[in-house]
Amino acid sequence: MKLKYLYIFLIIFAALSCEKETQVQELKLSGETITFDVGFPVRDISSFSSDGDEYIAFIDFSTHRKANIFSLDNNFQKIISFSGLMKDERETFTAFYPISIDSFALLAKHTNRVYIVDANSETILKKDYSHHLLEGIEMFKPLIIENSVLRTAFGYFPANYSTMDPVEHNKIKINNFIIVEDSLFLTNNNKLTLKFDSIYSRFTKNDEWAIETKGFLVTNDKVILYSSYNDSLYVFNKDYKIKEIIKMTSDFYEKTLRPIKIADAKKNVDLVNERAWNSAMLWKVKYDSLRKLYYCFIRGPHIEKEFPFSIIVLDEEFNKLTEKKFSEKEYKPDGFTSKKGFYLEKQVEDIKTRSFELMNYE
Amino acid sequence: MNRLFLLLLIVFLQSCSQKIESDYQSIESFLNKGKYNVNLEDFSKLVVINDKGDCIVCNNTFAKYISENISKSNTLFIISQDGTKVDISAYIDIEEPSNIIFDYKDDFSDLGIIRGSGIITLKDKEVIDVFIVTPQNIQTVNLLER
Repeated sequence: MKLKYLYIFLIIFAALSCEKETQVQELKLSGETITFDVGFPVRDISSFSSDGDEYIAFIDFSTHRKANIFSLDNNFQKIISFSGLMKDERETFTAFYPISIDSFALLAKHTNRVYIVDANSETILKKDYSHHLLEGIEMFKPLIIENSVLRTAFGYFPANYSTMDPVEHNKIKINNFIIVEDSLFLTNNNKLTLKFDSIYSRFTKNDEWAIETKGFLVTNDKVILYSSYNDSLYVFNKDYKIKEIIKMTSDFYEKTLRPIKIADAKKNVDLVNERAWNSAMLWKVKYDSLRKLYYCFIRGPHIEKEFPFSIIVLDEEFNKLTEKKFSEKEYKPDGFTSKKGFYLEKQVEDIKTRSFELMNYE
Repeated sequence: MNRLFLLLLIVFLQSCSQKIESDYQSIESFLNKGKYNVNLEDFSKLVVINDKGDCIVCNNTFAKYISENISKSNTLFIISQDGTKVDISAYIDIEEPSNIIFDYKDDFSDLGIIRGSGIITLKDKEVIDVFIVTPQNIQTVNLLER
């Protein structure tokens, strides 16, 4: 009998020792940093490729009203100024999208106009969707133009909703942030269609305030929607038919941010911010098309106004590959993808510079 | 037992000895901590510009409108915004401003004196009025005449 056990033990031992040693892959910081001397505080960053070269744009719409463009080898390339356009067209802008190193798109605030400007900030194309305001459609950031198709988020303000009624007024916000698409963007015509027309109501109820951070990500064959009030990625095909819902589970943070009832927010106007600062949430999702990896940022509660976070790496089938936690003292929950890997933002003292460290899943 | 009594006595005395700062003193501490080269006694109004509250348009309108008063030497402008949400262009181009301080990390809000953009009125080393900009009052109030 004892010999039988010994025999089984030896078989298991032999089988284990024959197993091929597998190398564990993880997110590894390279120590290679790049610091851009932008010259002003930045609202948005946008990385892009043009003719095989990689660039990054640093944008401020409010005070400096320009985008400074650098190549990823840290050479300053050009300034795209918005001031002249803002003055001439009496516009303010809310979103910037680099089409190439010589052409950039801008989405105006509250007027449903999209401008394409050249490297001298001169207007090449102006698309006017302002007549859709009468239908209650207002375009919001982000702004994405791919293969001549324009996509933006939009808020829907139906004429029959009473803005005096709290619940109906809130429905406007609940309808916010779904996608509008123009498949004839680079022509003189336009063909505007609304997408995602019912998905957003999943995240908040009628009596809850829908003002959370939310985003969508467009890849070659998918559109992915996410919300900080939700713990899942909603994956759609390009016809906006839902394919799957991927629940995100962090090893480090329990996602706790929940919507706030309008009645509670009215009693305490700081409640929304307090909850957002003190809760963990799904913050951002970035896609590395070269390596076919998703980087999902899970932001933790703040520590002295900075946010620790983790990054969950998913493969193309949304399998979790790894998760790594980052200190709020060294890094910020933002970054961009490049040919060399993912550049994770670093904390810096000078608000007029932005610094990034190269990181890879390897 | 005696030791417990002694410990409680020390804790009691310690808590009594901690001074509670007035709002005015909190502002002084904020200025000293930030090493801003200003003397609070020189000012009777503090204009606070930040992105707090639920009306970013109001904050922008206020920042633009109130900038016409930069030359008033009795008014200290505390810019608690980095300029990415509120247009602070009127304040950043001034060379060596003596009555503008930049508090980009918005530490001033931590004092809990004002929840949003607005005006704090000082008199005899005290905060005597706090006015917060709202959608309702932005159009109607002659702000520095209050």
